[in-house]
Amino acid sequence: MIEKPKFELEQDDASYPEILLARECAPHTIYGVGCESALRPGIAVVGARNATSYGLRIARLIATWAVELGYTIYSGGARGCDQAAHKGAVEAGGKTVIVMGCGADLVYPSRAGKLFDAVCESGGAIISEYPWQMPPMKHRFIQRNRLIAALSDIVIVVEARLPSGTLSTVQHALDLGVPVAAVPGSILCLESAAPNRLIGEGAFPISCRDDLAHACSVSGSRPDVASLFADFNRSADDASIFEGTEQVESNAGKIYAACQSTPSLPDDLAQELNLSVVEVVEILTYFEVQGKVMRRADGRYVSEDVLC
Amino acid sequence: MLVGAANPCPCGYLGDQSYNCRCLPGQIEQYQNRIGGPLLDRFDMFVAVPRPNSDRFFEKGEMQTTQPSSQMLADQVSTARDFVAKRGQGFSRDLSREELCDSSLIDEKASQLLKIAARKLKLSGRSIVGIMRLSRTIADLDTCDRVSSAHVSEALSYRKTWSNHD
Repeated sequence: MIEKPKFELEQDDASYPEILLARECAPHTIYGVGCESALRPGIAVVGARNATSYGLRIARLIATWAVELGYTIYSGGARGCDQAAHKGAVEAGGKTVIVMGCGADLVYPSRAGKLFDAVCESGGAIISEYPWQMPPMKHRFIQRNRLIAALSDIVIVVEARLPSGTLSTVQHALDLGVPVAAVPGSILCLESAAPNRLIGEGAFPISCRDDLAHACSVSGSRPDVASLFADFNRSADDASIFEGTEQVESNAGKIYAACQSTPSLPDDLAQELNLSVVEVVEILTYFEVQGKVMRRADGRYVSEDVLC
Repeated sequence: MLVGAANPCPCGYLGDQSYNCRCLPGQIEQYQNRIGGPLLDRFDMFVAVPRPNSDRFFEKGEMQTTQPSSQMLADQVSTARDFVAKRGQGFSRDLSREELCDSSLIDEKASQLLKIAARKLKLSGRSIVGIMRLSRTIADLDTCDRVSSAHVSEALSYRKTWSNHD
């Protein structure tokens, strides 16, 4: 492990996050590792540990968008959606903060060491309201969720089942008056049950970059219908001049697109695309060898860019 | 020949179309790691067998399926055996590494794919030869003199999907 700079911020320190001072629950001291300058206005991207590839991909994408809008990404560093969001922020060249339910100098979960290093190297931080070396305990993580909500301008729920620990972050956000947004998903997918429900109950639905900008009140106004059509026409034009048009049309393109949208079995792909299983497998193997797709433990192929 | 069967995860539903697997990723890894890598490496083919549609069990007569019947498969095997006899060099299991690599038995594109795959997928020596033999067998079933890249990629697709040692 790389030795990283540690910091302790008291409420009267200049770099103590301003947003916390306005909240009732501001911790007396914030213990942190990495760059304290990362504690800027930001958004929380939260979701389940056992996320689907859709959830992981969305968490990463939203983090990328939020970085482009100039936000820090706050999350809990847990497996699944949290780590995908941190990773997306780092990859987009942005800052991200892991809020821990244990001492900020511990690596928890222990497998996330690499990610923790990457977060600090890219100007982010790992923080906690608990003192150094405080061991992880279940109740501290629920308390930690409150700090995530308190630090954020908005809490975005990516994927979670019902009931879910993720909803404790939502509850804290509501208690603190922090707006909540959620990413809609399939109604057949248990992992999208919580975000779909939240949208029904009034959370901002995030279905494109503009939605995020709007939810964060950066863009100010929602795009009107006419401009949506303009976007649609433009993207149609883009597709026709896209140099790989031929490839998109080809079976390989279709197979790759399918693996991007959902992890797929060769047999299902063959049936959907009206190809023989052998043809599909040949193309998938080429992609696998090139490192573009990988085969998961359940035999489904998934494009590498959704893996976190 | 050694044939084995295993569940993909503790609950058995990993990859099932209609039931969600309830195992945690760590549990699945732990479960799959109970069989050591060196032992798994000795299996040439891993085939996922999905749960059949239960309705089919209640149909009268032969079960309706899109899969080839056992009789058709047996015919294919005997055709392949005849082809191997005609080809002359013997069954793939009896061929040495040199013979398997010989350009009269494998085409350029197929060798190239094998080389890249061996490097990128970090295949062991044993599994490289295993894949060569399996590709040869697939080509024999296809009654092709030379192994093509389609045969190699089919053979590669039967590699283990389990999470061991990657």
